Amino acid sequence: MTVNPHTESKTPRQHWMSVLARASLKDLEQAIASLGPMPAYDVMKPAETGTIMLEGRAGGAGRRFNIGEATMTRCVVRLKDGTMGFSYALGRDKRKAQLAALLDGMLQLPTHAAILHNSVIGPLAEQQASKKIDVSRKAAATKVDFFTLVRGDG
Amino acid sequence: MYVAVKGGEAAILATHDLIAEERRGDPSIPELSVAQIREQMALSVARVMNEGSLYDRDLGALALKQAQGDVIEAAFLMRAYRTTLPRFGSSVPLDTAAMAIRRRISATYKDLPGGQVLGPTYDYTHRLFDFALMADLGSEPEAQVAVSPLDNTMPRVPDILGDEGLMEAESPPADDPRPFDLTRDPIEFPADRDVRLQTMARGDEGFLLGLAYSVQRGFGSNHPFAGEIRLGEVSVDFIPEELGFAIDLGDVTLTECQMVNQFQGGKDIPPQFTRGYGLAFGHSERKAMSMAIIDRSLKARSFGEAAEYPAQQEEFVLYHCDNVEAAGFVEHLKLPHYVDFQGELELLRKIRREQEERAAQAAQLEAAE
Amino acid sequence: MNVPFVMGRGFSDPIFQSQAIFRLILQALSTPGVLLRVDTSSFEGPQGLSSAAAATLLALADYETPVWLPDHLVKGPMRDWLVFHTGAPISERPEHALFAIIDAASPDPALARFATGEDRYPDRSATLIVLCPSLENGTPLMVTGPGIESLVNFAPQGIRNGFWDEFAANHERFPLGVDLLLVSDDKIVGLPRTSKVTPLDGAA
Repeated sequence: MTVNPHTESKTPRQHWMSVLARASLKDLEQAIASLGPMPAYDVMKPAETGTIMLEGRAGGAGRRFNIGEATMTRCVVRLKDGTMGFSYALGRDKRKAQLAALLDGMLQLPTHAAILHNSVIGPLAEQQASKKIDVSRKAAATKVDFFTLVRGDG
Repeated sequence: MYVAVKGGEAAILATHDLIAEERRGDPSIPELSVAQIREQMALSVARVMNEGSLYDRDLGALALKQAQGDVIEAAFLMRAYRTTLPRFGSSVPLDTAAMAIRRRISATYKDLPGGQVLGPTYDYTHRLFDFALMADLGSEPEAQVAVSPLDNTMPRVPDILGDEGLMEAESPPADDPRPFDLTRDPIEFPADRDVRLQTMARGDEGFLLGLAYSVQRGFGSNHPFAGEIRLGEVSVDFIPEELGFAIDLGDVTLTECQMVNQFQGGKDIPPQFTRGYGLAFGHSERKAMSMAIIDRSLKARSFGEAAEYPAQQEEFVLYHCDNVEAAGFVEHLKLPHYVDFQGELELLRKIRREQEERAAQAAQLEAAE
Repeated sequence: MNVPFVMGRGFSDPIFQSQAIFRLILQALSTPGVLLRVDTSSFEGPQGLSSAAAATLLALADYETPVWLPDHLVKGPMRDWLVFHTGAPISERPEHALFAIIDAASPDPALARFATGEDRYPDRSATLIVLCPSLENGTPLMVTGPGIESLVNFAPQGIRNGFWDEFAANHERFPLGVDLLLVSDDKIVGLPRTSKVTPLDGAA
């Protein structure tokens, strides 16, 4: 039943949950403010902060070992029609956890999915990807070109 | 004899107020914010996260602020806080091969797939003071930006040699068992590699550095090469029991070090390089390198090497590398030991008295004769 | 995703409410045989399950504590409720469980099938939640042992034949052994491995 996230590509839900987990509280508050009235919901599991034990592998690929823990926060809400929205993210932001759970619930509703993808998930995913590329380009500026340095040495 | 064991409460409360004022320092100087520490003291924050065994940059910064920059006290705060939190589970083993690289160097190969990326490092600075930082000029530094980003993923260097069969294999044991967790179970010896790596991951950087140095100076028998050091962000995946599929929780910054060591071989195994592994939170190169050197030296038993030196003796290393435990035991000596000490004092006085009495008796006898 | 629509709510304030339940269970096990009541206002257990049993698992079970459940609970909403709220894995074999719910009347599994700990770690043993129709007006029992100043009388209903013999054998294994929490509705009675239980009418 367990899916190896490193080898299998993400399902649409895994993708949007990932985007929501990586968003900031401000991102989600702005998104929700732009959406107008939100559906009513119950909090099934109030946002709770705990830890997750991070595992590594010896040598990167060998025996599993525990590196240490990280803080994480999770929340579960239930929309009026029974759809459950979940959120899990690193850190201790409970307000963000509740908003992300609500958005996860709404993204499962055919009535809301399209608009949420266009106005929330799509732009956030793009923003996250471009930030990652910016970081990588700065690192790339420090890449060594040995060929240039040794040219002519025979 | 009466020994007072109560009292001092008012004095203790007054120390809280005094240390708070000391921590603040000169009130005419603006107070540090936690966000400033998180952003501008990131390497200290990483050390606190490692030794506190809890990844949370804000809490690491808060711990440093509250402990006035005392890293071990800050790690203690992290450990104490951790115990108040429920644990939701364990992550899928982090995949450092999929790291979004910001630095990646190898001392064993010049030309690597993906290249040598120097990244943010003090290695090529001159260790001369930059007095401009003191002048508070308020100008924002700007990094150079290349046209293209780095490759999405880069192979781990030892895996390249591994493909040739020249490197000690690194593969999970049968059934890929859940790792030992020293926060749940006591360490037993001989300790397996998962126990050793977890203990060192939260171990004191200074202790591990000193031990690694001792190995290099000859108190140990391995001659390490830095096969690869990589720094970057790795996503954390978690499979909640209630959902049954993996959720990406966001990124953590990790430093990984693969040490390549002198080769070993035997009747059944052709000669091959052996390896040591280090992994640490944040940008913590010295820690990851020290850990990797000691990881290799602690393999002495499995390679049939004589474990003659401290860095090869797992009980010595694992029992003494935790600075919160070590500080607790050393520093408990400043707590009142009045009763113990009074007991010793009484005993010493009694021995003295008896000795004097015997001497007096002997003198009397002598005088009588 | 198979979380059903009718999922009962968990603790509204997990830290303080689970600590309150923990304190109550501590009380139950340190004063064996004394009937206590669980405050059930803070959560919704699965339908048909004793709220004291639900509260106990909500407070104590987590992803590191395998839980064994009898067949009818594995098949019912209990399983999803437990997994959703606690993340606890469901154990297929009694000997792997750290917590278990068992029916007082059911002959299986025998107490001896659960983990009793090891000599070095007697705490690595199972805590069993025993579902009883009622904890009052049944066969009177005399309970003696640590935590009991003189005598405690306690009379649960619907306990299977031979159960108290099994519990006596469990008591003999001290410091190893399982601990019991007998529950009915919101009522709970602790019987740790240190307690000696003697049925008063001679029935076993």
